Amino acid sequence: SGTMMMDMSVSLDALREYARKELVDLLNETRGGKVLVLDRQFAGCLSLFAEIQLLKDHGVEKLFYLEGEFEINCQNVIFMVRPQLHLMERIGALIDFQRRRGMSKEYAIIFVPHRTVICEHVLEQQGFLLPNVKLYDYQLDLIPYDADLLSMELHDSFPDVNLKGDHTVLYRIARGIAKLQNLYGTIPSIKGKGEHAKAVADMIVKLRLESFADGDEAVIVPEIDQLVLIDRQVDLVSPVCTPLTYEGLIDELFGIKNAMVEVELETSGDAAPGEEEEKEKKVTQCLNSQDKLFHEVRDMYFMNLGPNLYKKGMDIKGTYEERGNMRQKSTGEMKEFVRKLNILKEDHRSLEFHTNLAKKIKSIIQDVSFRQRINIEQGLLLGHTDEANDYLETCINKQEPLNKILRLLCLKSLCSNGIPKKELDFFRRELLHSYGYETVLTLMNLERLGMFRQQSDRGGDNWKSIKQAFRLINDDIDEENPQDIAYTHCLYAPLSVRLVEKAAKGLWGDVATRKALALLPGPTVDIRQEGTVPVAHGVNRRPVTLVFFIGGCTFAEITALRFMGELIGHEFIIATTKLINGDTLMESIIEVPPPPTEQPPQL
Amino acid sequence: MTIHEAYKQPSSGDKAKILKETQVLLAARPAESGFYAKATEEQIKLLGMNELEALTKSDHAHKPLSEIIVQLIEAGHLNKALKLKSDFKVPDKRFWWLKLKALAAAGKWSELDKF
Repeated sequence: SGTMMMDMSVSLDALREYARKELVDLLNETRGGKVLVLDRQFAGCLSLFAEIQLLKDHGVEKLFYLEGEFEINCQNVIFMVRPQLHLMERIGALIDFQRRRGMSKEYAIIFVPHRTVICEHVLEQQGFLLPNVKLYDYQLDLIPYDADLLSMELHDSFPDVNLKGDHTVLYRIARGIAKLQNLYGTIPSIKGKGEHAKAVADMIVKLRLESFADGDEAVIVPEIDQLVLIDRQVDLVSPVCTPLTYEGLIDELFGIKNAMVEVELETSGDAAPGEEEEKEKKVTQCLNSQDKLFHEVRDMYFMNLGPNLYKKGMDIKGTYEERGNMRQKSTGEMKEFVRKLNILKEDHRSLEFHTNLAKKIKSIIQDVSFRQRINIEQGLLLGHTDEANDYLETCINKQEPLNKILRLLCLKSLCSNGIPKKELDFFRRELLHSYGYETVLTLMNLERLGMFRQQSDRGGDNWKSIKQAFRLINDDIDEENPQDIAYTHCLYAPLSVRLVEKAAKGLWGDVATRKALALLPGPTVDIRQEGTVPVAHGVNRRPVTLVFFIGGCTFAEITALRFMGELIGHEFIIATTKLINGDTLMESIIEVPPPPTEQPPQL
Repeated sequence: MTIHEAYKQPSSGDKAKILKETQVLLAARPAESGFYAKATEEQIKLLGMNELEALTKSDHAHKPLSEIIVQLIEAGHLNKALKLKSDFKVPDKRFWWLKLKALAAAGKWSELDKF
């Protein structure tokens, strides 16, 4: 596996290696050649830390997705799946298919992260828990996503925890952090905000005491100074805002999945002169810190990207032009130049991709509709909540995508401490009439989450107090040389990151901070894990904080954390249940009733 | 959730039957669900208008009100659409959008000109 480009004092490679070793051990349980059948969604996660070669090296001869029926020409079959019922049914169907063809095989099912009683039950009922079907668990909780980023890749973590009351996610978070503590030492300080932050913190402490009792705690000098747990419920405004950073916009407009983006781009070069049509081709690109160029530009305010890419282009051109003076160079210099040239080719390819992508993004965000939306959004953040009404009504009338409208409606509700009854009823009726009665389910979900609700007669302007206490609005941003995290939205500083800032600067226990924290929902966490070994104090060592987002985090929040780290000389490792944006968050809350069941014609 | 149950029913009639139960449940908690009880009542009324399905030659069980209005105008039943507008208190602004959409879809450019 390649090591990451990013200069981090805490290397997540140890976690990566751990995940790879566990995987290899599980593959080796089945001797000889084997076929690996993957659940498609998990396959994407797997690609983040295990390359095809690693699988091949351990006997995997062929890979399939667990979709439909296909013949397998190998004695050993390993399924690797999340514990979901529809996947159990597919496994059953595929085993059945092999049987019908008279193929007897050895099967193993690896559950990620663990089997469940109901999955085992379903397999048993279908008659597939035979002696020749072995079951294993692959306890993979935190997936190494980038040099400073871990994700659990749980798509529905937010609704699962907050609507369905399924707290297994919280347990898995605590277990994942316990594993981190085994590798990087016990984290001396735990801070956090929100109901679920408290629950996770309590579980972490409990798990540690249990391992104490077993005499299991490893004595390692802690590499991580503190843990900050952020319950997504505490800050619902940040995820619905549109990011204006490069990586944030890529995700917003095209969607980043497993650190990859797939986008239609103009192909440069191969269009013959005089050809009228500019053809677009589908391009897939990996987006992580191993790409040096992307690493340098991903966190930029988008409007600064163009000049920077231009400068990079000039640098590359300069090095190419050096070729002309080759004759005067010594062999050593030649070798060095060739090495440089090879790196350059990679840079050049990356530069070409990012230049084309930036052009495409620019054309979208300069369009009136995008700018109008940003204006409305910023107006809401500033407190001009009525100005959005006409815009919202028109969007609903035109039946624009439901998730985009709900995002803005929720922002309106969150920024005005609820919506007055008459207005609320108007919007609800408009939504039901335009998107169908079943939208009732989605609206009820949003109301239960407090994202879309009726304004109460009592209570002052809580949001205004929060805005002031955490300095969320900054309309004095030097766009070319930003000095504040508010550049990520060109006005709004993510509340979640302001919370982390308080913890990172050692202000968590302050009177002012405590007063500000009291404005937000849920308990405040401030725990010292006693009896830990003191944190290492190397020369120039920057303090390290692990920030865990319970319920998802956005690329703009990650960018803001990285930027703040640079500002205050702090290092952040970011962990989340899922990388989200406003659209995907809404999609996870939107409830679509199942289609009508087919019924036999009545006699 | 009875709304889920209702949506499993393929026919408008069956759907309306189960929604009636929903409405009773919702109406029992007027404080927080008064709006939804009323919305459900409206939906039952809409599902009961079977004669409209014949006019648009389509199944209305899963269609939003706005879409039914568009289909009626497209099929040339502006009066029926206007009736729905007043029955369900559709704002002028939305109706204007729907009419525009329907006329464009039906290719009635001469009528679009009159807008």
